[in-house]
Amino acid sequence: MSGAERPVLGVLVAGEPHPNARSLLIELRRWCTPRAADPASVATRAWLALSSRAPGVDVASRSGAPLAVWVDSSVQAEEAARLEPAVLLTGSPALAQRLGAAALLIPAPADLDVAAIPVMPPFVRKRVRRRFGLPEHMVIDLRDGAPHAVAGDTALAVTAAAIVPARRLAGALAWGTPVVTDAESAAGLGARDGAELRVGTPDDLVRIAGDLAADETQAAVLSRAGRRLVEKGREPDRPALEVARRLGLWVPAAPAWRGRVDAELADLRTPARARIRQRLETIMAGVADDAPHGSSRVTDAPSRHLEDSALMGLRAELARTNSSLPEPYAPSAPSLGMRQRVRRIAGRVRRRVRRATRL
Amino acid sequence: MKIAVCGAHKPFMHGGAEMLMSNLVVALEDAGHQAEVIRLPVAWDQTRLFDAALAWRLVPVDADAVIATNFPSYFVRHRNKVVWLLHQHRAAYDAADAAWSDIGYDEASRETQRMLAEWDTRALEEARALFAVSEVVAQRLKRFNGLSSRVLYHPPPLQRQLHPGAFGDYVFAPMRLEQNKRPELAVDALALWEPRVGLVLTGPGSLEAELRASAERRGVAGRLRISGFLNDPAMVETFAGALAVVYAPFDEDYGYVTLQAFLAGKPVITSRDSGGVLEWVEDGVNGFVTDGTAAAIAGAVNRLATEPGLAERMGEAGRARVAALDWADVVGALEGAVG
Repeated sequence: MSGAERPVLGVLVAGEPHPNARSLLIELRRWCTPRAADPASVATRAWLALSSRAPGVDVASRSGAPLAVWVDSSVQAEEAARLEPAVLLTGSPALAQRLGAAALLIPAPADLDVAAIPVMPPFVRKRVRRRFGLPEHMVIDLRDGAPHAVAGDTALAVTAAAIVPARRLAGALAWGTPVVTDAESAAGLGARDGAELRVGTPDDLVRIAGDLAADETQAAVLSRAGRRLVEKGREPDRPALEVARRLGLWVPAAPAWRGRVDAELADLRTPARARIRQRLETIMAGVADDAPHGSSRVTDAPSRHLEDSALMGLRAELARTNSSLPEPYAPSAPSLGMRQRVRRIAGRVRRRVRRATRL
Repeated sequence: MKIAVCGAHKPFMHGGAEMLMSNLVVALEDAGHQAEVIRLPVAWDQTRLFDAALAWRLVPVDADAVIATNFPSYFVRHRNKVVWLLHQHRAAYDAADAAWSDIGYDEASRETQRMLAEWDTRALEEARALFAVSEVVAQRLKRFNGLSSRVLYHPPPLQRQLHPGAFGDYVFAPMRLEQNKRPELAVDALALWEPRVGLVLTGPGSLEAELRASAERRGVAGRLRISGFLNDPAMVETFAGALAVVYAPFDEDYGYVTLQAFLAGKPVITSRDSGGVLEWVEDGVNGFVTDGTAAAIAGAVNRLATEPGLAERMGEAGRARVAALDWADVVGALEGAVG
């Protein structure tokens, strides 16, 4: 769809807009053309008032076009209510909670692109570990100076549990990793002990991680809830899509089914390289499609972390690291037989690499 | 209220899921609702696994509420969706290592598993309420998807027709003759139990010829009857006349056979890895929970055949165990969950 065909979203400004509202406007450009406009002289598909007191907001509310109003406080929300808006928008989690279904929380620009990270549920991790000869109850410790401090995303994607410092917490939860951390790091993310992750003191982190690695059910519960926690506020396109829907800006043109299919795939967080997408392309090949795709961004970059080559590398790396693990990690360390097996495999990998390099 | 009961349609296959959907519709109608079953075809091979799930997202279901039952019907889009889960696509979850699963350890299989779990979790999270047909199904949902659900037991088909009868000279094993039902255990045990006691298998199923050949080899073909499909009256009478029922499938979701046997006053002999069956059979009280070997199953049959009054006592205990099952409770819970 060309820019000229996009519906216009009239924007009413009053003062400096909230920074989250700016990121919303950027996201909304995928479905419409936001434009500062005077409701007295311009007809638009919908209106977005960046304040309940923005000039022209009364006229916009009577125009018949759906209106969204940005609010920063309960007082402003009350003021905005008289405008009968389609939706209230706010950057304040507390206010959004108080306003309930009437409001949408528009988060700050994300520090992490969660949509680009595929979830690895604990039972799939277990099968991967089995396939690659990794410890059944594998635990990695990412704290500074800890054995796996520099472990990469592949390790996060397959480990049974991880001890994670604040700097890597959101990323670990995005992968669906069963996580143990300290109270301060958990609080920083709004995560609760036993709900989205486990919290421990420096003395018992390792023990808790070992227990978590052995408890598949608890790991699954935390994995799901942890992922959902970091999704909130880190998928800026999702609230934007909801705003577009509520303002009638997301209306797939004919043929509608293609837009629907893409939207459904996005809703189910289907990676770009998923085979179902390839299959759909085959099925739909040759069908004219000019529908606007209201889909989320998807990238395939993280998938490389789950490829055989990445997992082989991890196995070799862990074989080296785990051989020098201190005693407290014993519950999660591989058995002697497993260590020998991993060393043998790692040796084979090294020999193959050497041979390949010579060639 | 207009309620659509949504389920998968595996062409040319009819089993417990289809019976549940039909009986749920009847129960909803009895409660004053308009209800009907809506089913879409499903394929279980990896290549086409997601097709039907996506189809459910796209088809319009005009009803006041939907009750989704099995994979992939819970992908249905509806503002008033309740899930009463019979099972997910087990070949990608608990049965990924079973012989009948096409999920391996290769990259493509891992991606299928990963994505199916993600899709399932999101589609199930949409439901206003999540129920499971048994504790086994609820546990799987928690272990694989991290989701909590409430167990909602229901009566089996023929609840009102099944009745106790004389304890005859045969063991009844009604099941589809397929790998996951393990009918070979009953045939293997037949060769080891009292010669005066026979075995009646129903079927149909792909293992029938193999089971007949096995019985032939063991010299017990004359004591084995494979009846094929039994109509309802024949099923009721075959239950009523049995000495006991052998039912030892692998990790069953629910297992109507157990409940039907109890309604007919018959003890049930099962295996400790039979899943949902174990939520009903109490070892030594209303049946036997064996180690799943033919010898142990035969030993249980021999006790029932030789100890006077044992089968009667266990059968009565079984009847008491299922006496409270009532569709009205199921409908009440589901009604309470829809908006």
